[in-house]
Amino acid sequence: MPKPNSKTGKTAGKKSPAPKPIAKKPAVKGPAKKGPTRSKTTSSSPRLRSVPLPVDHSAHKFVLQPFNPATPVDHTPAFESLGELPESYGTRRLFLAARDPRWLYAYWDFTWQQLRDAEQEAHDGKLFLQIFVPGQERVHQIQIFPGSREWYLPVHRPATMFQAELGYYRRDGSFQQLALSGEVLTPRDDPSPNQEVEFVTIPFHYSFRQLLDLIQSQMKPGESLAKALARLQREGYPLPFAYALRRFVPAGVSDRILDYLGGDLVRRIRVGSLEITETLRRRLLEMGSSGIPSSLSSGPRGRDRSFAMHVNAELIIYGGTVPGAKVSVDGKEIALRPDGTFSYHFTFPDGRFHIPIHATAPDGEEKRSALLSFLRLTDTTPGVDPTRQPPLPEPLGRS
Amino acid sequence: MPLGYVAPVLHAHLPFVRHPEYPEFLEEDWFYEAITETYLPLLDMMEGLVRDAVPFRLTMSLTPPLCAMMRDPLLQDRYVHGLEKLIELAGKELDRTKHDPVFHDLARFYHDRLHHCRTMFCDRYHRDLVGAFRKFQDAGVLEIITCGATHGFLPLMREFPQAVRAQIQVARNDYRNCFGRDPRGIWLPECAYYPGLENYLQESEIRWFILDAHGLLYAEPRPAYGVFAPVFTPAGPAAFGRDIESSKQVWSAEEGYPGDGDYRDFYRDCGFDLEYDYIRPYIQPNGLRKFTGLKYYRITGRTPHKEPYRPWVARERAAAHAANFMFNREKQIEHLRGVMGVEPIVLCPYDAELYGHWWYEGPMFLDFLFRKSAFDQRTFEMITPSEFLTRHDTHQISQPSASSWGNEGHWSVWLEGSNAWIYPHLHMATVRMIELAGKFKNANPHQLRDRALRQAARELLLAQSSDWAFIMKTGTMVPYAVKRTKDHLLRFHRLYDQILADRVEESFLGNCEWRNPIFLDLDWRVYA
Repeated sequence: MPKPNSKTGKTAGKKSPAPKPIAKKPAVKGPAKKGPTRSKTTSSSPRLRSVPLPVDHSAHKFVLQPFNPATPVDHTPAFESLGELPESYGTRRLFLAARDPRWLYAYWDFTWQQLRDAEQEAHDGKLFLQIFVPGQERVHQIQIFPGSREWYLPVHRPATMFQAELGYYRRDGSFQQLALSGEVLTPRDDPSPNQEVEFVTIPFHYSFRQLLDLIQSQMKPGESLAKALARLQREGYPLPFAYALRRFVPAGVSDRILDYLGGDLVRRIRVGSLEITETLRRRLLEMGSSGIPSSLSSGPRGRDRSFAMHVNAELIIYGGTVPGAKVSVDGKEIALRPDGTFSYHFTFPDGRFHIPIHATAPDGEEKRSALLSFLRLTDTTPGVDPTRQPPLPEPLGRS
Repeated sequence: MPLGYVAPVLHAHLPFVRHPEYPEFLEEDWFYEAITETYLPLLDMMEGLVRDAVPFRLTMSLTPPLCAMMRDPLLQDRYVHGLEKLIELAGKELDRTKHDPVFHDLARFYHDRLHHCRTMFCDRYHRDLVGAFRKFQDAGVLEIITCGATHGFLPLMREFPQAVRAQIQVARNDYRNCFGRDPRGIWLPECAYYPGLENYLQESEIRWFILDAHGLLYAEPRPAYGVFAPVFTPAGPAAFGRDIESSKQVWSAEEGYPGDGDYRDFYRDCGFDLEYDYIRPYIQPNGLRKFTGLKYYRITGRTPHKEPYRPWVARERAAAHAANFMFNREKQIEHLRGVMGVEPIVLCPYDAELYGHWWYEGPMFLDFLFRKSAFDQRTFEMITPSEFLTRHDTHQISQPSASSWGNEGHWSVWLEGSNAWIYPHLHMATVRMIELAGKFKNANPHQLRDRALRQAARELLLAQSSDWAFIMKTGTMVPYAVKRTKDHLLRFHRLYDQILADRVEESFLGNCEWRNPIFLDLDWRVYA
């Protein structure tokens, strides 16, 4: 049965067609790193492998085999190998990003030698990455080493401005800054308490350029287009299009909407592209236990299996005649290769089979025939399954 | 008058994958499979709806890399060649299964579908899928929106305004070339938004974009109507929020439709199931097996044992799921209308390629949904965001919150241990591209240098594609994503050096152009 829809359940009364539920989604993973982590210098210079990586089908909406750089070609294409990227460029730049409401990410572009030189300038031989709230307190001080290039920093402070600096302490106790990042704002993690509602009419058939031209002379310094239009519309400024003079939102609407979304909001369901990979991953695990011969065979195999065996058989009939002749196998005419040879294959389950084969000369004057008979009997010990086969057609000539 | 609106949005995107330097290249299959299983079925669906005079509205992004691949003669040739091979295989399958009615019917099903694809692609659309989609936009039933030029992750280039502007403006110009008009909406790559991004959209006259729900719910000030009405950002472009409930109904691993046991199983594919010598001509040239698209089993259940697929039963399930989806939207909209007092809009965005490619019956589900919504209910109307903004042009002003539609809702998919190494390199190339554009924007025209500058911009844009970081994160085909990132950057740096030294090597430049002919009239001065 479908999970009752938390919203439509409120108005249930009519029977809804029932979607069948599918399996449970694995728990959402937490942040990849648990705390300030020393960067691995190897991560900045990944290299191509000479052998395919294990396959994880869960990773992409298009599930294919691993890239095989050794695809056979007659020659290496021109300009195929252009060398390697440098470890760093030495621009002395410090970059800070708010990865989410709780984590910052910093990287710095210094060469090993540049950092080594700076280290020697420091009175205690140490370099530091510092995170602070501009104009306020420092929230992180991390010692870094000449080989490191990046750091993930937990801050757990949504909607807060942060800045990073890199440097060292001089003998007099002052901080010598080597680089300063831009300011970044961590995103909000809850609805804003500010419930002020300001409406504006922005007619779709006016371009932004036209609207800007229309009110340019009325705009205050730093005022945005929507804000300026809203102000002018509030003041009753004449504009060449109709606009809503007043618009009223009944009290409590915002809270009722949030209540309506409540469950989902709390659970933080983000049905993005990765949601799909969760589904794929689950399927993969199901398949891993079935022994499907696929590109999975080089990848994780799902859960362990006890010892087992499987066996099966197929039958290939092959032969040849002169080019241009006609050949039928059990009454069906089959295509010959240009040299007159042919082959035809069937699945071969238990049973007795008689398969007539006829060839007719290109001029239709002569015929040759053969009757091939086969018997398959299978006897197995427990724990032996038939090897998975293509959809099994009834074999020809079964008696 | 309807009580509210439903706006289905499909995001159609694939990274630019085109390898003329190899006779066959596995990753190009992403594109070929998507044509057969998603793009042609969606076009087929729209043909049917128009033919039957069903009033419907659909919004689709067709990203610039996808459009470039759709218009590329080499990829068109390769698609037709691959389709011919599949038709040949399907013909053999008819023979092989002739005494088994269940599988023979399935073989016939694929044989007919593949023939139909060939007819559509070659005869009806003359290989021009961009033109095919454009036709529906011109007919007023489909709104096509743009995206970042190469699906670059914009928040992680925000320190470089020229880079963000280039992603938007190059995309807009490409849209003009493809569709003969300006785009009105944009699918921000990965729905990734940061406050201030709307300024670049305003510059390009882009009127609206889509956010994941929390991007709108956590806007400042709080949007009174939650995700059920757009807000105007301070710069003017409107932000629509994704409806959580309808997204979950389709895609949730817990309760989504596509996992129904009657639907076709994605993994059981002839390419892996059939005897090796028989299937050998239809798999990879190196002998490794691959998906062929001929899949004979249904999901069945949480078991390795799979039952044969029954298309007519799956069709019934798709109809039932469409009815369920419609019913839930009706109830949702009745409730919301009561709370809000104005018409709510329920925006339902999905990855397009998941319809058909992953959820085989997805296009059928959409077809039923459009038909049922048009004739079996009066509660809501299907609409596109542009049409909604035309009818409803008064909205609250609010500044949305930084967000994406990736796992955990922000940047953590595209900025973590596996892929963070790319950003110093991308930023360096960006700095250098800005330097080049500044240095040469007023220089006298110089044909070879202009070509090199244009190609340098192409290589930078291609390196910025968020797909590479995504693939690195998810762990499949990582070497390909790493190689693509490095190759584009290394080509960029080599061109940079040659341009500055005034020694552009034409053979190298020509090779770059041959490999990556995207944005043919790209104006590199956008970086100035």
